[in-house]
Amino acid sequence: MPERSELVSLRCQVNGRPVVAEVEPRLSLADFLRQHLELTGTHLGCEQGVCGACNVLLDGQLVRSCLLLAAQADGLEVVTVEGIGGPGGQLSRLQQAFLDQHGLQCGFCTPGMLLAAEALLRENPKPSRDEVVHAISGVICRCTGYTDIVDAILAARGGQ
Amino acid sequence: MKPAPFAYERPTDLDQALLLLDRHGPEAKPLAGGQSLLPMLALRMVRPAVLVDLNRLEGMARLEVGDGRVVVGPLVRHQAAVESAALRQEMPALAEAAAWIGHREIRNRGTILGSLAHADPAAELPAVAVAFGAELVLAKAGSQRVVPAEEFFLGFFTTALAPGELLVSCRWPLGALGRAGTFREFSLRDGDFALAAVAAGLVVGADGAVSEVGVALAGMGTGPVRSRKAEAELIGRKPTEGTLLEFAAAVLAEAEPADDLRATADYRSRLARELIVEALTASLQRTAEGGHERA
Repeated sequence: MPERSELVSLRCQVNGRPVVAEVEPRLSLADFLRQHLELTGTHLGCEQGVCGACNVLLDGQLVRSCLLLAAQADGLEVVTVEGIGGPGGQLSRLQQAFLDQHGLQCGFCTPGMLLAAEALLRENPKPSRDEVVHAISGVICRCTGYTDIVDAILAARGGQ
Repeated sequence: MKPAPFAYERPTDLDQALLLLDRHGPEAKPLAGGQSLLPMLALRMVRPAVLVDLNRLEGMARLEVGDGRVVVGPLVRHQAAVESAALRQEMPALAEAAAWIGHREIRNRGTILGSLAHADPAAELPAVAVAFGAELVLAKAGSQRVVPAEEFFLGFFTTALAPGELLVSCRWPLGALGRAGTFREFSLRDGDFALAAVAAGLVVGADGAVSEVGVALAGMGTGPVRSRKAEAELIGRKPTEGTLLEFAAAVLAEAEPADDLRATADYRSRLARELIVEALTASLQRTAEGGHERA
């Protein structure tokens, strides 16, 4: 059993910026984003794929960043919650809707919810309430009871 | 970092991957979707010395439907099965079962062959493989063998895969049974593990009697449960509610559901009985319509 593994090279895009790094193979994408790139908007709850707080987009696909090795992002494009804002530091329509509809309380699940919603609206700009509920079913929120989150996503429809 | 240290290899062709798996034998683990492997690494339930990442292999994400069969390669994600119109037509049970796996985040990444190789007793896809007579292709550096699904699943997280072997393909025969097939599941919440699930297909002849049947349960034992005896007894009989209930009872006689904190064994058996009858009734409907219902 190796004490420490040989580093592997990683070149990817994160929120549109090129990133080059040498990482330990066992480093998760979530830890890479948070600790190496200091993009701490991606949250870590369970670190075993259950809670959804660490959701990011990988080549446009919604994924759990705790269930990917950083090395697996090599050659790919990552979008985190820091990368879905509007121009000039403005909130996006979706983020504004979360604010307006009280779609968050403690905020811990919010990055996961936003990314799940972002992925849904990119694929399906006019989802039904049931489709919204299904799309965020992989993210656990312990404050809101979900209703305000669903309302926020419904309010953000169509303007993406 | 939660996993124990490991060396990381990312081969670009299958031969290279097989050589690496052969060289490191039981010390190596292949990584495809990683949706079960990564949690197991984080919990240190597995501590491989070498991880062989298959995600760069060329041409391994093919899901082929045609020429009398469905062929699934090592990098076909669950979501690809959910979205395949050809699969919904020819082997709807596979597309429907894939839609029950985890959440969208998991389905985008997790692979069909990974789920089969992982052999979780509550997993959906092993039941689909067993119910519809799939064959699995196990490759090793320089050789390969074909194992029927019923001989592949050996129990709790245990398969016929030997150290150094890689599951490179799963193929289902296409036909009336596959076209009529369906999948039913009950879980407490969206994305939870199945308390009980069933993959089932039923075909009746011109005389209205059952001519073909394939049924396998998930979550009802240490692996997929299929009763050849119960199926043989159903052949030639009319599929009334009574005969289907009798059939369900005969299948359940061979199941070994467990009590756990989510459900008692008795509750699981009752669920499975309802799911079997519901799935076979739906399958019958599909045959009658000569096509498939929209899931």
